[in-house]
Amino acid sequence: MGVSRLLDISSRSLGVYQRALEVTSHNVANANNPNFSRQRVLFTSERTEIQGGGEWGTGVKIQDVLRVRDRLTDVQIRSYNQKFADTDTRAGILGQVETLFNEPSENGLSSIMNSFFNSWDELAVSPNADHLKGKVIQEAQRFASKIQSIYEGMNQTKADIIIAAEEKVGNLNTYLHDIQTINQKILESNIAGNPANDLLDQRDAVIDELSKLTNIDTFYGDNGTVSVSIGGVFAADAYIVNDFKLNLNNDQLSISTKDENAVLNLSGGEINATLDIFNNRINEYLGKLDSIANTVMNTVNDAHRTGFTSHEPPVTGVEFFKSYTNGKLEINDQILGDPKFVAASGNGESGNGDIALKIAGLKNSKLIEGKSISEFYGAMISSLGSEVKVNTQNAQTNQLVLKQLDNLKASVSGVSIDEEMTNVIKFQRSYDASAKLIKIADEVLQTLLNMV
Amino acid sequence: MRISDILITNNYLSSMNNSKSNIQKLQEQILTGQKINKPSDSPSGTSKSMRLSESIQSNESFIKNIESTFSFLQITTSTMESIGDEVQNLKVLFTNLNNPLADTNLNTIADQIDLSLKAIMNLANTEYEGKYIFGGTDHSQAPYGFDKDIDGNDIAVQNVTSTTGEQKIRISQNTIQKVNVPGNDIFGAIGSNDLFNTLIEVRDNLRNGIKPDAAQTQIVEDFSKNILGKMTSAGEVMNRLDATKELLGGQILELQNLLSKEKETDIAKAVIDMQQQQYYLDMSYKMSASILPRSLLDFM
Repeated sequence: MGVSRLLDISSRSLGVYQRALEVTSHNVANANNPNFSRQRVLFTSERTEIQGGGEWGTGVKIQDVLRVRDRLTDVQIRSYNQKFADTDTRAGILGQVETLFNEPSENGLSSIMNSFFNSWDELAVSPNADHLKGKVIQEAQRFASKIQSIYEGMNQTKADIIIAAEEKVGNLNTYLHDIQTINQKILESNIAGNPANDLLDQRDAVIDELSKLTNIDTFYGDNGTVSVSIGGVFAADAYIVNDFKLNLNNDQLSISTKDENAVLNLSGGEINATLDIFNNRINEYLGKLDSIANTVMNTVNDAHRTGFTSHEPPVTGVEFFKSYTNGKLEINDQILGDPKFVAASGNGESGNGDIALKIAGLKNSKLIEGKSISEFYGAMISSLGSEVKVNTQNAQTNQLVLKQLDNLKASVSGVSIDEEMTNVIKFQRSYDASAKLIKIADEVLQTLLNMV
Repeated sequence: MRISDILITNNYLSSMNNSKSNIQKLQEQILTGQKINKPSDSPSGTSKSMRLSESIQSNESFIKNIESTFSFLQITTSTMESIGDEVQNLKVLFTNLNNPLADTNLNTIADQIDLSLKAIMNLANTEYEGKYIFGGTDHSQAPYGFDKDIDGNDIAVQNVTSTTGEQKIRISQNTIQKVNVPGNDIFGAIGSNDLFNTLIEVRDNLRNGIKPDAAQTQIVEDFSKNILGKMTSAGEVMNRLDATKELLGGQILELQNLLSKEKETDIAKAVIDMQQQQYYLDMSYKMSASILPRSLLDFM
């Protein structure tokens, strides 16, 4: 007894403070790792011994190395990750769509369509002039090629979306596999009784990434593992992973399990945004473009059919446009071959321009949903613009909230060098003191030995 | 609140990003000179500026229409003036016939009437840029001409089915203006009591020693009055086109003004905003440069 206890306590505390310094250095090393949660050493006193009616303290020990993390913040971050990614992706893709229209500029459809109708007014000045008829045809071709280029641009966007979605689903599956693997390691580590703080950090980082892709639900088990489900479908836990795949049916994208038994019910995240834009938004704008092209074709043709060409004798019943399908607006081949087939005259007389005036007047007629063509188009552009703007603003708001939450997380889990350095001083002092005590114990022993 | 190192760097990075993205936006506005570069920059501004551009474009096209019609109208009025002059000559000749001295040279007067008749016929068939100005809207052939009846006598005829067609153009969003003087308005239906056939009759009668009667003189008189009236109304159309052109030009200026307010960058304001953002950015650099590298380590 006696002196050996002094040695005992001191040597144990040397080990404890060395370990504490190790944890501190681990913290310092990870100070700039955004996924790292700082670790804190929890000291407690060693079990006391009762001997001879007295209490004998036996020193200090490390009860646990705690991972400082707020799970509530994690859940909130994931929810805003998903909202931010959703709005940001929408703003990005729709931003591409809006540039296809070149508005507001003189290369926009609005200006081109207006020129087309104005060219009919100009034709009315000299209804039998071939060069004015030629101009009408030219303007019609410009209009048709603008419609086509917008249409093709949107279809290209859709094709790009499929590739991007394919890639995102690939990432989704990789993340799920990662979660399962890390879960498994955590489980093994827990069974062996080792703390798995760094594994937990890794897994939470993967879940954070996953939450940017899609809406997820997480359930934490007692053994440290987590099980994830997406849109009501089980995705991964410590043992099983469900792989997902992208399906394209009837121009609609969806994500289902490999066996296509369950379809994911998406409500947020990048994948949800891309799918929604593909399935709904772009098709809506394509539909509006179709109705503009069809209305122009049908109303111009209706008027044109009643008109007379500048042939001798005049021909009537000629259509100006041949057809419109999938963005391709085609002009009657006869007219392309011979501008005289443009029917400007209302009664067969070559100087009559009634039909040209009538077609030019279509510009101001309420033809689509009670609006003129250019009003309808203007409303469409302005709603597309608002959609981009609203999503951009929402993305900014979500990002702001996310930043607050990240700050909250950094405040709780982030490493402070000042704090760690203070700990270093503290632990070093304790280490020094313990070493000193060992020296003192040695001296005491020496004294005893010398007495012999 | 516990302040960790990562929190300080995050805050610094995000505020620097903010400043930079504001600067980038202002830079784009200054470089392009436009506030609205895509619909999302201002959805309502976009549709408004689209409407304004459309109006400007249409007004320009109306002005073009008016300008190209102007020369046509000028030819029309000058031709009508020439016809008026010829008719004036005829009136003088007719008056001279009342003088007994004229009885000796009725044939000469008949020749003069013949000349005037042919001149008026020529003027009536005036062609400008492929259009017969008095042919209504039928430009397939000259509207008027001479022929022989079954007895081999000269008669004047109308070559085309109708000389009433009205040539119309759009001169503003809601105004369609008739710009020609249809031949029918001047010469009436060509048959028996028109100017041409009356002059032929008078000419032939004079050669036979018969002077024109009161009815024939009246026809020439009425024609003269009528053409003066028509000249006035053609002049009014020209004035109207002129006034409309002025108005459209004024509207274009006004619309361009509105458009530039809607679309164009206020450079002075943008530059000042830019400087302010630059200042914020400099401040955050300075602050961070002094705070970020500091820790307890510097004093140990």
